[in-house]
Amino acid sequence: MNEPEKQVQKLIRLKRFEEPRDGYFEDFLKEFQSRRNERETSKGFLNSRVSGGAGNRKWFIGAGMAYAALLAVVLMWPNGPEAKQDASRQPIIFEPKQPVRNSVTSPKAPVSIPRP
Amino acid sequence: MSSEFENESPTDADEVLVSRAQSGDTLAFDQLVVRYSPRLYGMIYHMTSNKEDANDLTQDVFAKAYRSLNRFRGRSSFYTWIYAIGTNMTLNFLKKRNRRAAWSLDNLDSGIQNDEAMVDLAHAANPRHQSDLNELQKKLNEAMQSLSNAHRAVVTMFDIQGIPHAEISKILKVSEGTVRSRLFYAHRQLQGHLEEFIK
Repeated sequence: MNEPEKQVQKLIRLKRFEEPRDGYFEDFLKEFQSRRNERETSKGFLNSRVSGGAGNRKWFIGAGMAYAALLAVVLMWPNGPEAKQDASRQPIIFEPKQPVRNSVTSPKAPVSIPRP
Repeated sequence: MSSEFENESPTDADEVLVSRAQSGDTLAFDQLVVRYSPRLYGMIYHMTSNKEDANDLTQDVFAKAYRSLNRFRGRSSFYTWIYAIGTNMTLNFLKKRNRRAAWSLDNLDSGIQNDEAMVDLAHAANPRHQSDLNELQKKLNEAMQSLSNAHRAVVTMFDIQGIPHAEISKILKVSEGTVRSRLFYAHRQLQGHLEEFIK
C-alpha cells in the first residue's frame, strides 16, 4: 500500500468517531422489543381467528356436525327413480278437493263473467 | 445494559445464544441485538449517511433475522449471517433510494481529537488542515458518497470497521480478490476527493 493510500485510509477511519447519542442503543433495544411484541400480538390474534381457542373449536365442530347432518338428509331424501318403485317411500301428494277457478292447472273450466 | 440481562452471562457464545433463541428464548435474541446492533448500525449508517435510515434499516435487519432464525443452520458465524442480511438489505434500499435522500449525520465523538490522523491534520502547516471538524466530516461524507454502493460497502467494512478481507468476502459472497480490487479502486477515487487533506 503506497503512502497516499495509507493516508486515505487514516482519514476514512476518522468516520468511526461519528457515533449516535449516548443511550441510543438502549433505546434501540427497547424499540426492537416493542416492535416484536406488536408483531407477535397481531400474529397471535390472527392465529386464534384461524385455528381458534377452545371456544372457537367448539363452534367449528358444531358447524361441521350440522353440515354433515344436512348432507345426510339431502342424500337420503327419496326423490330418485328407485324411490318411485318403492310405494311405501313415495312422497305424499296433496290434491285440492275443489277445482280452483282460473287456475293454470285447469284451463278448460268454464269462466263465468257476471253481467251487471 | 438492561436489567433484563442480569442473569445472562456476558460471555455466552453466539452459538449458545442462537440455539436458545431458536428454542423461543427472546432474551437470548435480545443479547444478540445488544452485541451486534452497534456494529450493524455503524455499517448501515456509513453506507447511507443518514441516521434515521440507519435506525430503521437496522431494526428491519434484526426483525428479519428474528423471523428467519430457524433457517440459520450455523454454516457461517451468526455475525457473518446477520451482516450478510444487513448488507443485502442496505444495498437494496440504496438502489431504491438512489439520490433522493439528504444527509443526516451523527455527531463526532470527542475521541476524534486524539486520533493519529486528526493529530496529523491539526499539526500540518497548511491552514486548510485546521478546518473545523464539521468541514472534515462533510468532506469525508462527500468522498464516501461519491463511491458506488459496492465500493462503499468494502471501504466501510474494511477501513472503518476493520473487518478482514476474508470475512468481507463471505459477507458479500464475492472472492477475496474482488474485495481487494474494490478496495484498491475505492482508495484511488477517495484520494481524488481528499487531496487537500493529504500531505
